[in-house]
Amino acid sequence: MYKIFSSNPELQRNAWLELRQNRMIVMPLLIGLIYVITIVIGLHPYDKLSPLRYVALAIFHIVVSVWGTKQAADAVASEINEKTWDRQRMTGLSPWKITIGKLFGPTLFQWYGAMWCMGVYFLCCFSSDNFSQDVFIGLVTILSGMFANALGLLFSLLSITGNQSSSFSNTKINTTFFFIMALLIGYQTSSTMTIQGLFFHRNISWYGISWGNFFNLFFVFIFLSWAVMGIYRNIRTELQYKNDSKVWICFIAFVIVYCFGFSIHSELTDGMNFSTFDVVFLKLNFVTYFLVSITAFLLLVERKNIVDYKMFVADFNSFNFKKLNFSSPLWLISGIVSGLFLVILATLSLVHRPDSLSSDNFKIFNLLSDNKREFINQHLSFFYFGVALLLLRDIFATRFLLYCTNFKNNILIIIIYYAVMYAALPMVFGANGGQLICLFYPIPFTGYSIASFISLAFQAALAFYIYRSSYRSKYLNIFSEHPL
Amino acid sequence: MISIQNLSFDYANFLALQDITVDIPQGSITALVGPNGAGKTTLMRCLTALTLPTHGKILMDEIDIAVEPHACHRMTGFLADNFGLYEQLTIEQSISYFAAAHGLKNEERIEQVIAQVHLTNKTHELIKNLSRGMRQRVGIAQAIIHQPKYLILDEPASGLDPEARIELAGLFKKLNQEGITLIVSSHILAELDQYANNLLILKNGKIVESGFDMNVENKKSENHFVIHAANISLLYSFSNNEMYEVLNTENDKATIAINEKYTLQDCMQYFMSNGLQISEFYKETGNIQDAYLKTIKNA
Repeated sequence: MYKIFSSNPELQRNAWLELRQNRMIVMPLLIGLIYVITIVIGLHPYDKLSPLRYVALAIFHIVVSVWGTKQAADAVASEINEKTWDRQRMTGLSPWKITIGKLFGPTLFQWYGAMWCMGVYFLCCFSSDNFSQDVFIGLVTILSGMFANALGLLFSLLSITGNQSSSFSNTKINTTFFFIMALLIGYQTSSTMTIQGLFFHRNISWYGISWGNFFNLFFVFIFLSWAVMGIYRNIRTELQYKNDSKVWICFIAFVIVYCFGFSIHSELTDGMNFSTFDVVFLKLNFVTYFLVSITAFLLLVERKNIVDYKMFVADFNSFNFKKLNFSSPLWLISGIVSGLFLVILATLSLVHRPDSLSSDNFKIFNLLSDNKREFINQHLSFFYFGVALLLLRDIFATRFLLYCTNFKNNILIIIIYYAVMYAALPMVFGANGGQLICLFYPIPFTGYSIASFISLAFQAALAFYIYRSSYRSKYLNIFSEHPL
Repeated sequence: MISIQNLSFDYANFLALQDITVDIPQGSITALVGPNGAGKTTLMRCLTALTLPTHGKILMDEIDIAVEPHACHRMTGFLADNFGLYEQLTIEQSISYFAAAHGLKNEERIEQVIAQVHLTNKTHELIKNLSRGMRQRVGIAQAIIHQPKYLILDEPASGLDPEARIELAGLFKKLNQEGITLIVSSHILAELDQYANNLLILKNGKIVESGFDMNVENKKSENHFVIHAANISLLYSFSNNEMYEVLNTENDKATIAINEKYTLQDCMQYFMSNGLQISEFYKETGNIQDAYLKTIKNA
């Protein structure tokens, strides 16, 4: 242990701060007390160890996933607020050492607690009827905890990376937000698989192969690796290294391959057989949904400083692809790929009508469209173009809020924008089956796709105009004096 | 040597630094001065590669710091105005951390640096319990632990008592003698006079004075003297114009340049025998404060 700490000064520093003697004693005492209470209460008269196993898992989630993720999300933000981050950036620490130090350093105490939880958990597994599966659950839980921690750190880094003065305003609000997002996304990704695969004993079919417990473990590990890679890349940027777009493009390719691999579950299709086209079409929808979600999320959290953003705009305007490889924000790349998929889907729905996707033989459409079956397949291409316009509207609107206004907390203002656009407006215009909602969102399988398309085209154009004129009036003088 | 070439830095909608070109000589102690908002801190952050310039480049011993920021960090120590300390660590832990972060495993170096900043008896004290003067010394120890060639200090003396400032000036001179080139920004010009030998004045992101070498200035003004006398205007009426030249007068004070053929003693004797009521006289030295005020006024 000493060797690990001494090889990474950032871990060592955190060990000095986190692993204090009194804390090291209190943690196992508290966890032990909960175990004793669990045994005394005796939820199960003959099996004392099963409840203990579940309690150990629950404590792990509270200590590592909740508390640890909060610590990880605060890791760099607190350094910035305490004005120590610049000092650390000037040390000779490599990006990898800082990555590991920041991910496991501030959460050392939580992982010390986790040791007492998972130690007991694995011991209890010996009394389990399904030993191997319970061990898998334990391992997936540990990786899920790490994954949630890594996401918390990653999101907060995305927001500060490249900020000129490394300022981090409104930290409490922002880190709490990143913490919640990390928990939601981390658990959505890993726990769903765990619950599906391990608790309900469903084998996941991926590219036609039925994967067992190994699938969960493997993919949580892969997701964790991507999150760690994201942290590493952001730390590199903080240390003034230049990053190209290669890794992000690889991640997007991974998401496409990963999402495309899932099979349509037979419970939803009622055993119907689909043509290859229909299956591909549905899978493309699934992939596009993820790509658009990633882009929308990046529009919220990714924050380039204005100088870098101006350089990107200059490179973009001059079609300097060599420079764009380094200067383009992540949302642009995922946005372009999303757009590409939306165009493919729109074209596919025009050239080859997926007749089998009718409500009679496909249960999903029953759930979505309910009593509007006659509209299925109609206006579908307009729907996809509508989504593309929606994305464009959000790009220009969020860039306007981020770079052309003087709000102190840009993240908060974009959250409010999303809340208004995606929660308040649907409530106002969609109440009691109101059709006006179609003016703000493309809704498939309705007769209003064309109206949606026209309305969204207008909104996207308006957002572009407002963004462009504000950007020019705010930064044009500086451009003419000192063109980038 | 640090060579700054056509450096510009562009914040959101104003240019903090505009086309700066200047060389900072090796072995100098450069005072970086200028009014608030002149761009001093931005220039220092660029010099430390904490922010990269929008235009131009900085060469540190011929290495472009934008291309090799890590090389710059190895060569540079930086003390920000807030010192950037880990409050919950002890002095020893803090210095050990920075030593390890720079890849140093030499215990002797840690002890040496702690001794250099006179904190040997305080090694186990938590940083949060230290006075400002001591915190500043811990900050300097952290910045020099890896034996940098360049030490950049942003307002190091602000908030220090006079005793701590004198100590600080001594420390800077000592570090300079050990071969470290220092760049110090400060508002306290009188304090810079004690150790700086090079001056860089910034105003509105532009350099308005550079290369003001205090040693050269002192040499130039070797025969310059300041005289205080109630009837100072008499200086203009004396007949021996060969002996001295009046450079300027202000109230009861005048600065004169004595001709090389004459000594100060000759001059004083002449003045007193002609009725000049001298109350005080001293040698004029190159003064950062005067140079700064003169430059800023003219800029």
